[in-house]
Amino acid sequence: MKRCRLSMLALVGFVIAAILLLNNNALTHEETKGTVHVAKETMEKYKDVIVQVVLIVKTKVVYQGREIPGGLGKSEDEIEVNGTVVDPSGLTVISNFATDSSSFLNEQLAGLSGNEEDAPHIKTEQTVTSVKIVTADGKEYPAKLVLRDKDLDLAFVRPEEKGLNLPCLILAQAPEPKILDEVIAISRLDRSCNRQPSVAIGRIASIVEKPQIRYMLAAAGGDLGCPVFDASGNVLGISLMRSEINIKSLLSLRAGALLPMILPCKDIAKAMKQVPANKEEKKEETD
Amino acid sequence: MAELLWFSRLNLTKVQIENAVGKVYPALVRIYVVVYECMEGREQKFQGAGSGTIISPDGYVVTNHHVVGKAKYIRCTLADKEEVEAELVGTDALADIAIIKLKPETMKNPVKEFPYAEFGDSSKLKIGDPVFAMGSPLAFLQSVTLGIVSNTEMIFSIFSGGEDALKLDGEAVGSLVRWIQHDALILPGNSGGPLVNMEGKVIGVNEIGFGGLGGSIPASIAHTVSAEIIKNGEVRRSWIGMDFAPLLKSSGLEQGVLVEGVISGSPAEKAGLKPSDILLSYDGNPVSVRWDEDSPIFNRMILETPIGKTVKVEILRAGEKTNLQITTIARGKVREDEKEVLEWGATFRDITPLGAKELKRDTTDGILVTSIRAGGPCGQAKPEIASLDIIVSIGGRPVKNLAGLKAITAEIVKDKDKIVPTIVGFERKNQKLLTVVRIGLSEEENNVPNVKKACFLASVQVFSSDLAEAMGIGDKKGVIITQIFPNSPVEKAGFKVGDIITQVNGMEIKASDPADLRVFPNMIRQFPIGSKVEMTTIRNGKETKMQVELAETPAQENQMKKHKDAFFGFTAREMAFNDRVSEKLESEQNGLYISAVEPACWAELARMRVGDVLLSVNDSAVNDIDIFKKVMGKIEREKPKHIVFFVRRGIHTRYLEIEIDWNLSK
Repeated sequence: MKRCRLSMLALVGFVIAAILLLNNNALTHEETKGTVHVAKETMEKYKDVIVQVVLIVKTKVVYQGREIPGGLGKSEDEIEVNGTVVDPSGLTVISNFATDSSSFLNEQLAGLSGNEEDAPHIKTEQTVTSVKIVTADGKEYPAKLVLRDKDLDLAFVRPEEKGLNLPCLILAQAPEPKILDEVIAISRLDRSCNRQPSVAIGRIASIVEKPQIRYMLAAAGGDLGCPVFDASGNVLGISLMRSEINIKSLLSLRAGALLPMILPCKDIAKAMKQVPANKEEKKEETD
Repeated sequence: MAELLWFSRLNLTKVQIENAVGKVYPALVRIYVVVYECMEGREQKFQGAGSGTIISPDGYVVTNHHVVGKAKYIRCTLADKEEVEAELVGTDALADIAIIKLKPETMKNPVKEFPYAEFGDSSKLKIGDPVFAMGSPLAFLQSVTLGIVSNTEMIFSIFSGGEDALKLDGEAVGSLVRWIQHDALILPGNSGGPLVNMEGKVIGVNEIGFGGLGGSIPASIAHTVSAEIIKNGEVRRSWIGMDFAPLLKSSGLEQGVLVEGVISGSPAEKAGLKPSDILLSYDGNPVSVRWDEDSPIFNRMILETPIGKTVKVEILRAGEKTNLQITTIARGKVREDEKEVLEWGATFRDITPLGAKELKRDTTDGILVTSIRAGGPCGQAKPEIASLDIIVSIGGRPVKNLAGLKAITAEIVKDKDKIVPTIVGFERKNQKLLTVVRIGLSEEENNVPNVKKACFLASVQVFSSDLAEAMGIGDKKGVIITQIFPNSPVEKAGFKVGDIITQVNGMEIKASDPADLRVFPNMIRQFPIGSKVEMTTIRNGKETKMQVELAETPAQENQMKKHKDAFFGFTAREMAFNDRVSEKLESEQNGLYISAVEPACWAELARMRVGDVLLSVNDSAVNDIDIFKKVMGKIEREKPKHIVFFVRRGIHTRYLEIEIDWNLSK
């Protein structure tokens, strides 16, 4: 099963790479001098709101109602993803897909069985058992996953420590970009590159409207969990995985089936309102 | 006719066969075992099956170490199908022999004596002798196959891995055992079962199979090892620390044993043995290893020397004969048992004297890490502690063995509900390193809530352009209702399966391709939960407007209350909306959904499966998690011998019964 999972992940990786190559429709673009200047300022202003979130994800494989024991069916993996802090308490937005790809994996397993009646009924389950937020200065904050929205690929994590006042990005009413508008994408490299901030200037290549509005960037920029700004430095949204994938789209390399796209601020802000208050805040409210 | 021809080829009669088989068959046992393996930082349990032979009337059973050596639970099925639990008496990885003892008090009808078989003399076996392989292939009940002895001196040649080809817990079985090779078919499950001669005696213990060939541990070894385990609980062997090999062809010698090397600090080194010496006699017996097949015989001679005995050896060195004296010492095991320590997220074992030599250490002090959990305290330390590291200090205090590590750990975590960062010193190859390990048990798995959204409580499909055209309303887009959930606002609003919804509050549902499946739910989620919306609906060709209240998306499976019963090893959770819909359960039909069953746990022994709906436990209905916790708590207090889970599985119901050994550690 572990081989099956690894080979499926390898196949997905190949498909994503192929889709990105197929979608690379902006080989060069001219940034205005002004945008370069704004990009530098925006990076300086917001680089610390981008953090690394380290998760331990436990994967379990259930076959015909039985958990597969040992290395074949159980694994515990450490993954590191980018996130954007959206509140001084440290509440951080990350891509839900990065933390739980089990529904995606299960769809592929179901799709591959062929004969549904005789299908082997393999299912994977993933749970996050540990979360840490690592800020730009290298400080680690134990955290918890507090809310998910699979449809929008949103997940919120929050530090367990109370009373923090971390640099954050306020998701205010965002302007609506148009096709080919210049955008500034800020992200952070991983620990192997000392978590250095990274910035890229791109353009809006497309505006996808179904099932909800998302903006697709051309070529570079748009790391999952990282914010994207317009040429004036106003935040447009956060890059998250839009997934409309199924076995047909996977095998036919259908473009757009699994792509990072920018989810506008208003959608994130609306979901953010449902983040449960932490227990101490609740206790203070009831006292 | 074919039967007679086959028997006559072997010069056997049916009566002879029945006599031989009949002496051993009643003593056969099928062994069901729950064993553990340490991997990924945890003791993980597995189920297995093997065979064994009762060798005494009070119920001692001989089998293989690889069947029961790491057993947590053993249950045997006798030839008359009676079941009886057993306990491990002792095990020897080097000979791959283990002894278990049947517990007659666990039988439905306890007996005073068991039928048993006797060992025969394997040294008298000849190639071509008929033999029977008896046991439980593929965990079937007791069976018998017939073949002949193919080879009485079977070893693994260098082409097939040499004496290290079969290693169990670090022990090279081939360094001691020369197998009886035969062609009586054996399959997985036959391990530990007897090889029987025409006199009805056990002349081997089946251990390995290669297609149509089997390898059996000779009774000469199995009998000796069994007797010592029964007497002492273990096998004690001598060690002199000498590596030897067959005589070099270039030496021109035809008698003797080549000394390849001596281990530093060993009795052989102290006696003055050197590489290239030729051993001519050992303890007064002439010795010779000319071929690989001779090695196990000579090795056994050394291993079976009484511990502490001083033996005279005659050697040939540079053409001159000399006598030396070697005093043997206790050999011990290569590896001690592994154990998990949850607070460290790792499994460990103590270092034996032999193990220390292999690690090129002068001391056995320290604890060897055998596996870690990637997300556990050792795996998350910086630098991380990895497999094969040796823990030597905790919090500045030297630690010598696993008992010491557990004691210090207990002190560290006592009265603390949080993890405790602790400086740990460890060795990695020739380096001494330090790290900080956050020792303690951390809470795992929180139920993460999903965003609450407004929901149209019915299933829909996209009203595709093909369908629209076929129905003659080609300009319409939207969704068709495919399933309405009982007692939902959608049902109450009067919607029916087959209704086509084209607008929501006057907004067109822009769905006309199956890829647009999420357009409708996304439109709905824009509305507040509980709001009433107007849907433009087409039914039987007529358009109408219908009002419906939007409910909150039902709680998902991962949000339901759940409880893991640590002793029985399964997790039950309250039924989610989706469970009821897919199982077509009425709202008053209760039960708990089994969402996890650990491998080889008590629940799995009872044949519980993920997806079962638990209805009752020992006749107590379990409709919610609080009641379930109370019922299971009562069972763990009262410790009944029999536990019966009543479950629904699909359209069937099942009684799952287990007998519990409450003394067994989890």
